Amino acid sequence: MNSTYKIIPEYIDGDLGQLFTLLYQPDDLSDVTECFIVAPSFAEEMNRCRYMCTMLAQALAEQGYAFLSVDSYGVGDSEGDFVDADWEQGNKDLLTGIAYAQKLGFKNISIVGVRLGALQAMQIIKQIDNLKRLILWQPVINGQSALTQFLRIKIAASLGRNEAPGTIHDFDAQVEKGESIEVAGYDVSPGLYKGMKASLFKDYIDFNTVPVGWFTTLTSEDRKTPRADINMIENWQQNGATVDHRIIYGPSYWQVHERTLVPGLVDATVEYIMEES
Amino acid sequence: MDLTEEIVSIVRDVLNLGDRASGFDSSTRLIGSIPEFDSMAVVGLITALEDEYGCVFEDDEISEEVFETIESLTRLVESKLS
Repeated sequence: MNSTYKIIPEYIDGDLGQLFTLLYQPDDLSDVTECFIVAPSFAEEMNRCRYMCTMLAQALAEQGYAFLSVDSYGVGDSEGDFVDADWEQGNKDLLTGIAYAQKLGFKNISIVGVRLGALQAMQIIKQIDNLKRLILWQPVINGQSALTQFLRIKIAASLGRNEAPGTIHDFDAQVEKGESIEVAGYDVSPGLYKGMKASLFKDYIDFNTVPVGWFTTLTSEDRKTPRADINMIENWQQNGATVDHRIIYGPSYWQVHERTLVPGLVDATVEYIMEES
Repeated sequence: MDLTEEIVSIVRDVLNLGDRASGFDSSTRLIGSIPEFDSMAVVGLITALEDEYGCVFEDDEISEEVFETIESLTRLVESKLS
């Protein structure tokens, strides 16, 4: 199938302000058309993943699926500044986007969670009616480790400059005082910082009612899926979940320079979705 | 593969250098010499090394001295393995 589709931008009402949405809508829409909603990563990772998400949206729309992205409050083209972005609010805005898709008439909703977005998706998954499946791209399983990695960008950025890099301990103290932290041009609010830090994937793996496609991209055959990810998948499967783990070889699209693409990941994801449909 | 070769292969993979890394050895200069070596690459490299060797980097080990050459990076990883 090679369907035609439209791309429809729309602002919708969130609790705090207008949220920007972009819908890839196949022309041959029916009652059973499945709508994939992306839960993106954040800050610089979100930027670096953006084009991969666009490629997936295009590839899925060509196969007759719908794809919706929603920028949460303070992110992308939605209202608010990045410093207003908050972890819990991000979860609420994702649910607002899902409700919007349902209002448009989509009865089958699926989520594509990318990196930290995967962790956010896990936190709200039980609140989604008619969820069909969950796709995870390089999910973050430990919010605190992800936060540490993010803060290290600030430390690394100070290399070669005459400035004090600070330590993660200093940043924690700054957030405790209610101050935001600027990392690589992103002003991170205490709400985002603390929400991320407290989030653990393992707290949500009692959920087992829809199939899960877990995609790990490794840079070469010399690399392996991190042991912690394998353990998480095994524990989740022991809880009765159907988790299909697939490995794709390609660059680390979420961290290397922009426009580093892994078309094989898009192909593998579409293939997985078509197999299960 | 000895440790230096392993580190070269990890740098190659994290920075997506491909064949450009084929001539790398312990004297290859990293930060300030390879354009891809930005702050996110440093963090990606630390994460990859932590995953690979099950070690933890301290904040003060994210320094220019450590990321100067393949050799300086190898030496740090070696110290964590012993």
